[in-house]
Amino acid sequence: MYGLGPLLESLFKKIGVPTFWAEPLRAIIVSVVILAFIMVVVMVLLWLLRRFIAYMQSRLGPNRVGPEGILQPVADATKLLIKEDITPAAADKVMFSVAPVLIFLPAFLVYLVIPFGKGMVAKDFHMGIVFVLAVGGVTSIAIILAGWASNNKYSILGGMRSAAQLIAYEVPMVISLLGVVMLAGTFKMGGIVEAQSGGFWGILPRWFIFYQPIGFLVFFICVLAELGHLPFDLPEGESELVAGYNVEYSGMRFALFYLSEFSNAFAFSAIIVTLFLGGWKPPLAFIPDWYILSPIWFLSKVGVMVLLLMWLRASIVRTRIDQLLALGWKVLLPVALFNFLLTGGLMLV
Amino acid sequence: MKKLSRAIYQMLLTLWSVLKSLTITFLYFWRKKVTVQYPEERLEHPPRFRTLVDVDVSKCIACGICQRVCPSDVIKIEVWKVKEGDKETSKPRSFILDLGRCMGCGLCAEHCPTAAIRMTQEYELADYSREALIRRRS
Repeated sequence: MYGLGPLLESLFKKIGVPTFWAEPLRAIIVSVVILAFIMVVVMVLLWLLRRFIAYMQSRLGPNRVGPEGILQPVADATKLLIKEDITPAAADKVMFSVAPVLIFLPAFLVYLVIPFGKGMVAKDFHMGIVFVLAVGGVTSIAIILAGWASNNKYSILGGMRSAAQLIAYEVPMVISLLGVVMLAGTFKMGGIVEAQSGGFWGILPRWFIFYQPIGFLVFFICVLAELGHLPFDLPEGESELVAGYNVEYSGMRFALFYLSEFSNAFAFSAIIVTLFLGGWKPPLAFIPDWYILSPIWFLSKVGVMVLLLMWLRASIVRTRIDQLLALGWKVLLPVALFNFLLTGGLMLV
Repeated sequence: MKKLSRAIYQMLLTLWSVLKSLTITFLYFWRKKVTVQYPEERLEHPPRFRTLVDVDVSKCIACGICQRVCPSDVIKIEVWKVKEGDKETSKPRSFILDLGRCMGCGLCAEHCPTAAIRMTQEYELADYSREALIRRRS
């Protein structure tokens, strides 16, 4: 077994760290590594998003700070750090300061269960998918909290929309995942990746997207809603709600909202890749899955997924809130249930 | 059954329109960008593009028409009587243009009898004070 956790464990044994300290020490090191990884990922994604969308809109995008504007996120972060941190006089002060932290927490925790490569996972829970869904739901609570504590009519509307959205997409999301879980026979992220090994005729990999095309589509749409991504970015619809739940936030607190948004985009792309696109398995079945290449396969697949999300963001217009709710309850839920029944029936046969 | 088929048709229509919009943005991705990186590259002016005034003092006869016609009081001329043989002509001692006030209407250039005043294509006159925008020609 490879991976950071077991590696640290054996290292501690060699140095002779007492067992009482070993576990918290390991947790701290793992979280620092994850945090550093999130920072790097968010920097890259921010730059990529702005340049990519600019190119799709016949613009150039930021290209002044550093070569090709690669240092633009650093400049943005510095600006946000220097800015004044304003708390509105009528706001609920405690909740107002808790909300940005609470919204970053799930974005951080999701990374615990993502398998970045063969055995490269911080903590492979037996209930990995359930953990992701549970933690992902907390984001909406933080958004409602932020909207309510700001004491601003636009932010409250944004928070309320987020709550309505959560209920509408979470149910079909869970049901669409059941097909994958039934095929893999486990909730474990690593186990699901293992279940996708092998291939058809030695070429096409045996990924779950080929078994579960409907499930993939439903899950993908639900992830868009979960991320507050463009067709469903109702909680922060700029044209009607100014900026939605984060109107009143400025400076570093606003940066935390931004950070969690981008870190979530990466994390959920990674989860789509893990569940439907074979995780760290190579893209063609006859390529041997070497340990060293596995994170490269994984990251390149996630990169393609992230670019797909950005592409959608540049192309599609925002839906109305009633359209999203109708889509969630009247289309996605029946389709997901149908997919669930179909998978069960085919497995029985 | 009819309702179900209608719903499926609508779903497929939605997917089709999403794919269509994705193709459009994909095609735009490879197009030439419209951004002009200003200080390094500039747009070409149309030939009759006019901005600020300038004056060729050697042609000026200090008649004062431009000073009178200017709506925003840009031009100020100090007149100098010169004797050339037995004829007395007037020449400008100094020709002051307050470019901070000029709006580039071109009335002065239109009225100048000797075409001494002309409209230039210069448009970059940002500076730290209004006094720096006063140009003296003599």
